[in-house]
Amino acid sequence: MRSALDFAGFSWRDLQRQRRRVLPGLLGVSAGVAILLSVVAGTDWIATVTNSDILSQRSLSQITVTPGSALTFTNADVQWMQSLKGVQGGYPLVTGAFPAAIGSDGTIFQLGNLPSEADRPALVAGVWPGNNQVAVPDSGMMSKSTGQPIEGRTLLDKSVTLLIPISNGLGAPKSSIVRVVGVYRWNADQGIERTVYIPLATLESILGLQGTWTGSSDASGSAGFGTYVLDADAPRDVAGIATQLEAHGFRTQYVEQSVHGLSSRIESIQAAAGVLVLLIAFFAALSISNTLVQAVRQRRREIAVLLAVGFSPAWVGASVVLEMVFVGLASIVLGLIAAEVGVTVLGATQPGLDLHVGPASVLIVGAGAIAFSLGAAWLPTRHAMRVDPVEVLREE
Amino acid sequence: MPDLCYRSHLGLTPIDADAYVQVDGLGVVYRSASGHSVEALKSLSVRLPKGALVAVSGPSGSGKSSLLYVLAGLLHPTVGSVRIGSHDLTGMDPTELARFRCTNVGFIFQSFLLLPHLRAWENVALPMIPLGIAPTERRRRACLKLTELGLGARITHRPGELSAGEQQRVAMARAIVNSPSLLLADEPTGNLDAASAAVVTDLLERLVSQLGATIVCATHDDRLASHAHVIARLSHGELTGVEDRR
Repeated sequence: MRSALDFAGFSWRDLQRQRRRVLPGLLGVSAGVAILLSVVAGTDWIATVTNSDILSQRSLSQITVTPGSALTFTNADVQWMQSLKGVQGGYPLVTGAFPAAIGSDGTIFQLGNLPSEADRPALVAGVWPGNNQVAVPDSGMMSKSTGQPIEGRTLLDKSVTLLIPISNGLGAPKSSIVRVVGVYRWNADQGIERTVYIPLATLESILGLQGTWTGSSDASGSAGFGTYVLDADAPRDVAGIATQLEAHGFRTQYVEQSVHGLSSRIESIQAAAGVLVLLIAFFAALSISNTLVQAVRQRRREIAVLLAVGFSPAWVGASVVLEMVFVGLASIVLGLIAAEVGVTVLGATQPGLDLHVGPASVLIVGAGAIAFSLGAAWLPTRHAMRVDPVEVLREE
Repeated sequence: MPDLCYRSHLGLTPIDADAYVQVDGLGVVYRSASGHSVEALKSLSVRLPKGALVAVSGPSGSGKSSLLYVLAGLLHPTVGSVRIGSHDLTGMDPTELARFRCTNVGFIFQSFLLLPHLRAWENVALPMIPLGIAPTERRRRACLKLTELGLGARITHRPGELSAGEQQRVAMARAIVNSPSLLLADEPTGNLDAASAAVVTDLLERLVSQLGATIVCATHDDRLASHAHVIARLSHGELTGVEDRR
């Protein structure tokens, strides 16, 4: 213990001798520490305020609901399908492992018998609907038995039988029961409007349990396809409602998501500030390292004397490392003081601004500063340990 | 007094049963960064007794200082072996050599090599730091040594405030503060006037009797050499003669 204290005292005295040289670098690292601590304090405050005011109160009353998931058929896919011989505009499409189109008479045109694999990659690779699921057009289909138009939405969640004719060279006729899981609307101008149809009744049944809501859809939308901006009569647990809606295939958007987006932006700001501070600290550490390298060069005679009287090279090297640790610790203390003063002054001058430098931030930033100091110690330590006392003594 | 001169290249050494310093086949080659090499010591073998004042004489560049550096464990021989007491220096790593220096060797330099920012007693106390001696004890021992060497009034002075003779005495105090068994002095009177040189010579003689240490002095100073028990002569890195005057 006594040896350690002696050792620390020796390094400290050496550092004091070089204080004028080391000071600029020390201030640089301190500035980096102070800036990072202040930025973290500020962004923590923003996050805290946002969370407490908006999220924790669950006081949202508006939600935007859009039926359906992302498009899985491209307009080009649909146009190509409709161009197939025997498939006329507005007939069902099946994707997944069983790509097919349903003709006007109910005939299934399996796409597996198409001349080239290259002609159907988009459909074969389609991620929705899944295997043995079908998306049908909302309009344009006609009942084979009655000759009346059939609205696709009436088939939603029902199973239909798909027949594969033998005339396509596939051998015996095959049939497969598939489930209608989607309805799409398509026209030559706009392509696919939606690939999922969800009855408005589903939306109404979920929201109906959550109080009174008033809503409006976009001008062009019709039931099940539009975008709805819904307002409750009082604050609701919108996140919970959104979870229920999403379980039924709706897409939702509400303020909390925006807040989460804000949080991620805050984290981005902290990360960017961290990078800037890393740069500041890097150059400051480089400055200190260079200073100590110069100091070691100037102290060759002194180091040679130490080695000659019985100090080991490891002892001399360790004393340089310890000097840098002292610099790191001093940077943390100075940076912490500067950050505390800064946030206190800001808090005093800006009403409502309540900034604190958190202990976790101090620990993390402090560990970083020490790590930088140790990294910066490498070069001067190497120089110190490589001093050849005989070479120096021969120069005397 | 018969001349007990032995030629190193004959492989002969001074006859001394209780040799404290044993050097065998020592060779040192300095290699510069530019690739030039200088052979400082060549096949040097010598035995030096314990408790003797040994003067190593020879012209500049004869290898006197190199021999001292090797004996101090500061310079690793290119070939040969060096044994000080029971310590085989050639087999030691840098840390072991540092420990060996700290406990067994004192070194006095021609240019004193005091650290200018430290006070006299702090310079003297330096070799005690690696030994882990308490600061108060370090100060006590350092002050005692300085007082013994007649520098009681200069304890808190810095080197710049001392005369050359006083600085050399501070350097001597630093060299003997750990009571070494081997004291090496590289031209200890080289930078001193006649009066100061006489004081230093007298002190070295006293140290032999007080410490029982072996003192090896590289010197041009005939007066210092005249006090030596053994005189080893070097020329061009070779031992040309050893005169035992005991």
